[in-house]
Amino acid sequence: MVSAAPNMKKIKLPLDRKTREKLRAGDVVLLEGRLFTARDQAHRRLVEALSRGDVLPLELRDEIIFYAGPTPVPEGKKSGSIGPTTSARMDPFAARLAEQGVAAFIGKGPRSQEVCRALAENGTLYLVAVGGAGALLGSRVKTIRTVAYEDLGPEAIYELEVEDFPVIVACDLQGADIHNSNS
Amino acid sequence: MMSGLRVLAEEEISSTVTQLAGRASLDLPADVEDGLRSALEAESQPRARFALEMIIENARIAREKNLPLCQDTGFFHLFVSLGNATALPARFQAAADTGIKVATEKYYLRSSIISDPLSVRPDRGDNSPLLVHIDQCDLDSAARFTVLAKGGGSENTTGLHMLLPGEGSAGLKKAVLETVLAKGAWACPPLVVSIGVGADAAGCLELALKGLLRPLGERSERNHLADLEEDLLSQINATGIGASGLGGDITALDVHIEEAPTHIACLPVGIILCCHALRRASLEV
Repeated sequence: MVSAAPNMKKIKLPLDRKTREKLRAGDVVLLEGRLFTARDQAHRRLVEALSRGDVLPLELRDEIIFYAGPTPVPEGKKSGSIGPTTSARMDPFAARLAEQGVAAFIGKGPRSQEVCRALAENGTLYLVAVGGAGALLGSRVKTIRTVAYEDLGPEAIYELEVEDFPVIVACDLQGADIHNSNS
Repeated sequence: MMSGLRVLAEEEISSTVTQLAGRASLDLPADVEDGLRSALEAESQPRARFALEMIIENARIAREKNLPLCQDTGFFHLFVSLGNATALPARFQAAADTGIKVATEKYYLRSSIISDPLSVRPDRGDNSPLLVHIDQCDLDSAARFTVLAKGGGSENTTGLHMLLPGEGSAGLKKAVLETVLAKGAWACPPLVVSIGVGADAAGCLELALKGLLRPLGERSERNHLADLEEDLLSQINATGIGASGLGGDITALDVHIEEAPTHIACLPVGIILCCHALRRASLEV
């Protein structure tokens, strides 16, 4: 079991604004509830839809977007492997989606200071999960189903129900960023 | 055909590729797991320790539950070292591709490979084509097959530096450290940093790729390269990037340098930052 986690908190989703305000960069939290996956191509489509003024295929307010593309679910299992992909690739889309009221993004690695600032301004947290721990994180997924852009395969938007899903707060709403000690 | 020459059967190639791709994807090699355990022993920072514990636990869960170590099951490479009296059949690539297609289905691997890089369309679902690298070895009527699964996130951090010959090992060190500082946190550290020096532009990256096959903890046979590896390892760890980029004492599990003859006008340096999930598996056939 993963033990030595400082300030480990269990959080039931949705992640409301009040809870978001209290979280600090460096906090380790265990999430329970609903996440939506979206990575490169899904972001492109979501932002294109917003530009056209279309209704999005899902409501983003207070939801968490997980930058991830899962492996297929093996027969007899609840989930395959799933873990964070590099968040910086989604930087060009982040502010646009944060404006829709997204509670948090989960990914891995540093992202630009401008993005962290834009997220904080919109009340959106940046959380990181440990990259390359897809089997462990997948075993914390209780259900997975496709909700949009099914033609994108692993890049479709999936809805996940997770339990004891470990993430670290990377950028908080006060503007602190664990990847950038100057902030 | 030369007498005594053994031509590998297509079915044997396919089934070996399937088996190795499955093993590489699900079962972290012992040398890599040992490296991660040593990293955890050496690490003093709580967040990095948290990440390392999770990465080690991930390897156990993957093995136990037959789940891929990472959702990015990677781009699959096949290295073939042919023995002196061994040959490949004409339809070798097709046989190898069949092997990876079967593995993708059998082990529930994600297919991350798309046919047309410039257009937006769904994946093709079978992880072909296998990227094949062939050389020779001292085996007789056998060949050594190694499958390497390489993730896309860390692939994006690859560096090619065509240095001036006069820049020498100081230039190489500078290039490696700059690459690690600029991109290391995105490549899922702790990293295995593999460097190819010499050959040409394509060749130095090929050398770096082959450097990933060398067991962790094994130094270059060339003394000056072994010293350079040690030196770079301590300097990379001094960057403080740490496991998962969360800040810590261990940013790399090891540094490998491979060399080859080059042109007098050139000093090509290829740098590969491999994620901590260095997934490879070998078999003699």
